[in-house]
This record gives sequence, structure tokens and C-alpha cells, in this order.
Amino acid sequence: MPQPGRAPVRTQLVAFFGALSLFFATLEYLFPKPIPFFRLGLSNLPLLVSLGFFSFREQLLLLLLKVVGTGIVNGTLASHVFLFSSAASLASFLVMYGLFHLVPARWLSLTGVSLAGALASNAVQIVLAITVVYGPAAQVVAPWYFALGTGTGLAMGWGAEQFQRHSKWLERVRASS
Amino acid sequence: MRRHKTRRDCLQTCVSPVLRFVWGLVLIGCLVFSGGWIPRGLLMTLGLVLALCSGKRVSFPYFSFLIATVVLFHLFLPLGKVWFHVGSWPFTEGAFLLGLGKGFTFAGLVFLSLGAIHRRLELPGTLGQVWAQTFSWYEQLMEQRAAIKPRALLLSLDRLLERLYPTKSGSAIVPQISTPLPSDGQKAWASRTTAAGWVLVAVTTGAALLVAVFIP
Repeated sequence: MPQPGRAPVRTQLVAFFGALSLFFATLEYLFPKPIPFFRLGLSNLPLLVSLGFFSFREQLLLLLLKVVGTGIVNGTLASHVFLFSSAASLASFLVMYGLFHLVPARWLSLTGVSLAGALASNAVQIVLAITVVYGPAAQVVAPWYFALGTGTGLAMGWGAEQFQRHSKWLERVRASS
Repeated sequence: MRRHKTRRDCLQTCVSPVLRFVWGLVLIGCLVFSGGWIPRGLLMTLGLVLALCSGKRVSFPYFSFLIATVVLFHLFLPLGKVWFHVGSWPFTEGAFLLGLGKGFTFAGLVFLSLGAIHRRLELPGTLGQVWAQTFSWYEQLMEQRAAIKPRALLLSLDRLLERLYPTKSGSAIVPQISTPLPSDGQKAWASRTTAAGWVLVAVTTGAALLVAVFIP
């Protein structure tokens, strides 16, 4: 039920998932990174698990909250990091949303959707790295980057499936939305 | 998981979040449109000072690695005077300085952004309202993150989510929203810029403009 002076409940739910994304992004930031530029992509978990019950517009708002919010919380909003993050997240989201809604679940699991999203994100980041930061020589790192992306995409997809399968809270949220 | 001390933001008491954002954008403009590696290096240093003053954590190995890799990748494309050869590979001055300038620019962009963005930056319109809610929940999640137990990850996370966004009492979801203030009940950041803040903004912006325009 929408409350006076507040955003409707659906929007509040999107805001809460946005907060979860930021929370996971901060947790990831606190862990030591084995390789520079390496990202696990924990902040994508709320996007992945909400693919089934948020509309396209709600998912887009969640994406915006995730990207702008991470830029504000980490302080990178006015840097090239924000550009990279926005472009990669948008590409990943469009691929994940499209596959989730176009391909039946019996043919493609959430892990597969996550893997495709991670690879789309990596492809955009590689193109931007080559064209904006490093130049053509950066092509040599592309295979390594895609290999890492495959690993993290599979791991995040598996994590999202586990959460979807076992979380009572998510089950109740889905039932009431 | 590493634990980091919370550092004091020296800028927040004298510069409002909105002016700080605009100030950062102007400095970023100076950095992007400045000419060679010397002004870019100077502006990157200014950004580093501002980032440190704003209490942000700066990883020196990370940024050194960033600059070094940008320089390295530019060295693969020979440009200008040859300094020396490593095997058959010419180490050129032009490629080195071009890479160095770019490396300084990208590190400087992050430093200036770290200094310019305050967590209480208010966004306009509907997005701003939703962002305020998101940030409030984010702070509550961060405050209660100790409730997540690695040995019972899903169960403890589920309990935390239920506590912050209750779903059990009927079908209607009534979340608890609060915007916590510091313990003394006062805002720790300035909503208006003080005179000292204006002086700081004017001096650094003037210096940045001079560096960008007059140093080749």
C-alpha cells in the first residue's frame, strides 16, 4: 500500500534491492583483490535474483541506483570508472534481461544468464579499455579477462540460484509482489 | 576481511556536498583539457591531496600499477625520439610521455572524484527521493553487517533482510525507514559552504586553471 509522502511499495522494494547492491559492492571492496581490476560482481546478485519479479522499468531503476549509488559511495561518480561501470552494467543487464525473458528456464538456468551477463560486461570493458585507456596493445589481456569473467559469472550465477532456492525472505517478497 | 579505520573528512565541515561536486567537475575539466604530462601530473597531485583530505582510502600500489600499465601499453607503439632499444624494441620518448600523461589523467580523475563526491550528495527529482531511501537502508545494512555469519551465510542473511524489510506480517510490506544521524544529533557535514570553504574552492580552482592554461 502506498503511504502518503512516500514512494509506492514497489519502488521501496527496488530501493531496498538497490541498498543490497551497494552493500554487496562495499563488501567486495573490503576483500583483498588477488589481481588489480578484478571484480567478483557481488553487487549484481540483487539484479539477478529480481529478474523474475521486477518489470523492465523497475530493473532499470535498480540498475541506475546500483551504478550511481556505487559511484557516490565509493566516490568514483565523476571519474572514468563510472563510465566503465555504467556501460558494462547496462550491457550486462540488457543481455541478462533479454535471455531471462526470451529463453525458457528449462534451457537456460540463472547461472547461464549470469555467465552471459558477465561476458557482455567484460566485452564492453575490454572495448573501452582499448579505445579509451590503454590503446590497441591491451588486446593481449582480453583472453585472460574473459577467462576471469567466465569464473565470476558462473560463481555469481550459482550464488544467485542458491539464494533463490533457500531464502524464505525472497520467497515471501516474490509472493507479495 | 580487512578492517579499515574511518578517516575524518576535513572538507565536509566547510564545503557543501553540492558545491564540492561542482568544484570537482571544474577541476576534472582542467585535468582533461590540460596539455602535457606536467600539468596533468600537477593536477593529479592536487586530486590526491583532496582525496586524502576528504578521508578517502587511496591505495598507492593500485594507482602506481595503473599508471605503469598505461605507460607500458603505450610503449608498444613507438612514437618520437628513440631513447634506447630493448632487443629490437625501440623505447621512445613520445610513447613514454603520452602514456605517462594518460596514466596521470586516469589516476587524477579517480582522485578528484574521490575528493569531490560526498556520500550526502543530494540527487534531484524522483531518483533523488529513491536514492535517499536506498542510502538509508544501505547505512542500516552496513551497521548490522556483523549479523551475517559466514558459517550460516544464507540463514543469517535471510534474518537480517527480514529485520530490515519485514515480510512476515501479512502480505503488505511495511519497511522500517530511518535516516540515522550522528550520535550528537547534529549533521557532521556542512549544508552551506563556509567562508573558509569558498576561499579553498577559489584558490584551488584558480591554481588549476593557471596550470591547465599556461603550462604546456
